[in-house]
Amino acid sequence: MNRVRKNSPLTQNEKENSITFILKEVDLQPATFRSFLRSYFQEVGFRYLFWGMGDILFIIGLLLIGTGIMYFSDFHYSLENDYSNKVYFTVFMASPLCYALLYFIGIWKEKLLGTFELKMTLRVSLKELLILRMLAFSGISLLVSVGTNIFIWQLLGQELSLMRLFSLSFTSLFLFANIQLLLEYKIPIHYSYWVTPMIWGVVGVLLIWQQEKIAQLLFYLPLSVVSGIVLGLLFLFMYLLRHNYFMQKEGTITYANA
Amino acid sequence: MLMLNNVSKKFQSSPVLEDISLTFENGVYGLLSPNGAGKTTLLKLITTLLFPTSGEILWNGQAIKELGADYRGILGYLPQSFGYYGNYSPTRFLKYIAALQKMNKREAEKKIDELLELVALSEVKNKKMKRFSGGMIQRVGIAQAMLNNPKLLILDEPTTGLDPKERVRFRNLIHRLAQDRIVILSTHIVSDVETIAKQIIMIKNRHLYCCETPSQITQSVQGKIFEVPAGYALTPEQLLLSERESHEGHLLRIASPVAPKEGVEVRPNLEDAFLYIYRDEVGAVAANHSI
Repeated sequence: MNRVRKNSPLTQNEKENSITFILKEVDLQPATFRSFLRSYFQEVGFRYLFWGMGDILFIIGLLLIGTGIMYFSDFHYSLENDYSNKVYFTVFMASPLCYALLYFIGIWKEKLLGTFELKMTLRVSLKELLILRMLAFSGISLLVSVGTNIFIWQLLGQELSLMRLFSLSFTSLFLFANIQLLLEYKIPIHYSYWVTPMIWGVVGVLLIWQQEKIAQLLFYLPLSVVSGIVLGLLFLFMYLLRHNYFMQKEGTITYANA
Repeated sequence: MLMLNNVSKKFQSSPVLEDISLTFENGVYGLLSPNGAGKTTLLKLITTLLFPTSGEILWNGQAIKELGADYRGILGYLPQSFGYYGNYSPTRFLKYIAALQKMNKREAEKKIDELLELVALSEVKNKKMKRFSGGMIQRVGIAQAMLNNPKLLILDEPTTGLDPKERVRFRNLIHRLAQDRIVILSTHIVSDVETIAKQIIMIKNRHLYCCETPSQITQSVQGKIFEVPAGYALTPEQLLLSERESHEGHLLRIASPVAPKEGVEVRPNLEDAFLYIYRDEVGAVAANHSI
């Protein structure tokens, strides 16, 4: 018995007909970032985004209030001595604090509880949750920034430019968020949760070291330029979040002891 | 059907798994190897937590990496160290997992009750998990892995912390579940898979050593397992498997390529085969213990 199967290649016409048939039968809907956001909020809901983070939100709230109280006397001193550029510098440095704390403590808790890898294998994976959280954290941080800036502005006798406070706040927030996302691409997850905070620590020290120059720059930079930078960074943030969603990355936090 | 085609994994430059090819159909597959052989790495590759350095993993002909959320939706996974939120009850925790699996709310509630009944946690379903024993936590882990009625259930050392009664109960449960799904169970405890596994997968020196039925693996040491009196002096090519007390006194169970003079050939079991296959590793562990 001849078991060799005759292999007859398809003609171009047959190939095209097959492709047309498949495309007609299959409901092809390209996955988009927008559809991901929509399906999460329709099928899962906002309440599960911060599930298990109640204690973190409470601790961060206390930390932020504590930091505010600590810096308040410093603000007054700066303003009385006409060091308003110092106030702008402090606002610039402190604005990503809320976002950074929410992000890093959130990941650290998942790692500590051992839920990280399990949640990476769920239909809505932890990676996707983190993207949604980053989006939400940026919103929360914006609100916190607006509130804090108005508070500082009022307390310091409305002598500073509120618009400059807002734009510097938003610039530093989105600058941090974008660089954090870029670091996420480059650093493997299994050590990113401790390497990236260290990188930020070094960056913070460098900025404080060059405080005078940066404070001058922040003070004299035209408001229109700062506003333009804010808008650019906001669009870049959305783009990088989308890119992060589509990017495939290993999701393990511990390598086997092999 | 799950297929692994020539899958290899390297960490930095050191290979952990090399050229693994396997096909899984419904039933229980026992992944039985000593610690450090690459079991968890293999499971992490199947759960998409790790990506192969080379080769491909296919679910019904499609690459799992490309399937993404659709693949994760048919997957149930119990990691080696199962993490939980101590301040929440099993019901609340399972509701959260169900939400992230995008399950229908009503169906999820029904399923949660069924599963908690199945793993004997109904009585404590609203109690905080921080007061639970290790065995109870492990049962919550098993329940969460089965929540979405997975077509592919992956359990990494699932019997850790379970008492003997729970172990038997768990084995029966897994056997029942495997009628219409693939269950891959990683363990180094032979009795966990001896009676329920359709096939046993063994990894040795980073390569697939075998994927055969328990009886086929047992057959491979047929005629090599003997019982000898306690005073018997082992030769270098003989391997001590276990010791036992009997009405004839203290007996040594050994593996030997030729029948020892005072030895009685006995019927091998899967544990004998396991110890014989991994005799180098067993020897190394024994040497470390004796230091």
